[in-house]
Amino acid sequence: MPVVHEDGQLVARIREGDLSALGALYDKYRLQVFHTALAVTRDRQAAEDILQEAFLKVHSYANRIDLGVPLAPWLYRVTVNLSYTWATRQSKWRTSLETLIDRLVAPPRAAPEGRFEVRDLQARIQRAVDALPFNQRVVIILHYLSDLSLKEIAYILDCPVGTAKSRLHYGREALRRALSTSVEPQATPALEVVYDFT
Amino acid sequence: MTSHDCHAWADAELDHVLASTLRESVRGKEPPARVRESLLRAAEASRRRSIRISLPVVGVDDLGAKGLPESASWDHPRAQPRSWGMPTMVWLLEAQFSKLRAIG
Repeated sequence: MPVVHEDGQLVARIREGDLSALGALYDKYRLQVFHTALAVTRDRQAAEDILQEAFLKVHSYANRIDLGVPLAPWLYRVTVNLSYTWATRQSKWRTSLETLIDRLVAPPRAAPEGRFEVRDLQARIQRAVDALPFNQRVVIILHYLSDLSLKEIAYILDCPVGTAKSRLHYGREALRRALSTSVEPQATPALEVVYDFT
Repeated sequence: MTSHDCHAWADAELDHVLASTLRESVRGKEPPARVRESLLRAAEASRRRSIRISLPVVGVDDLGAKGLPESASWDHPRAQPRSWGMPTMVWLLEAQFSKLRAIG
């Protein structure tokens, strides 16, 4: 007879319609899911929505969840996928908004790094993490915040371990470069003024 | 970038500063209680919907294949004909015979 993990016992109860088991799983994993979603999205409201949606998926897909293993990797995978969906929608909005602003604000302006004096190390690091491509950012967050191994990250992202490893490597290198250059800000050439009212 | 800067962000230091920054960014942040309440309400609603959908609806067509359950009868609202299959014809013939019996 297959061994049922303690999470699997709760999932089995959810299958039978016991919602207190869903509450118990929520209480156990809510911070992991919430913190991951918050770190990826940097948006509290989005993180709350993702948290609720992730556990609703536990309820909806209880019949498909493997009862013999811990739920955490599956939950991380769902959380990352939901965060990706959110980030994709957000980036479309942000891109169109930025394009609009670029067209309206004609005066030359410097890059953000040149305009603001960098004061706080953690703020700089946070900005650098936020600026990473989604795939690298997620690996960095899962590795450094959630303390997951490359094998676990590879399972969550549904990719080979080598891919997770290279994303971690490139993410770290990008952060190292961003932090090093921000110590000595380089002068950014002014952007060309373009008046485009078409 | 100077060689000093490169040294400042050696692997171990970068690892440490990344981990501490990310942990600090979420420290003490908890989801509000309403998320749990809302989750359980939504799950309950979903559970009720799925029960409603999975309730067996006894139709005449089903009866033709499975036989008439003891609790069911032709007069039961769920047993009303839905299509013109053989069970429907039986139902109509029975109704006609009933009328004839009443007349005769």
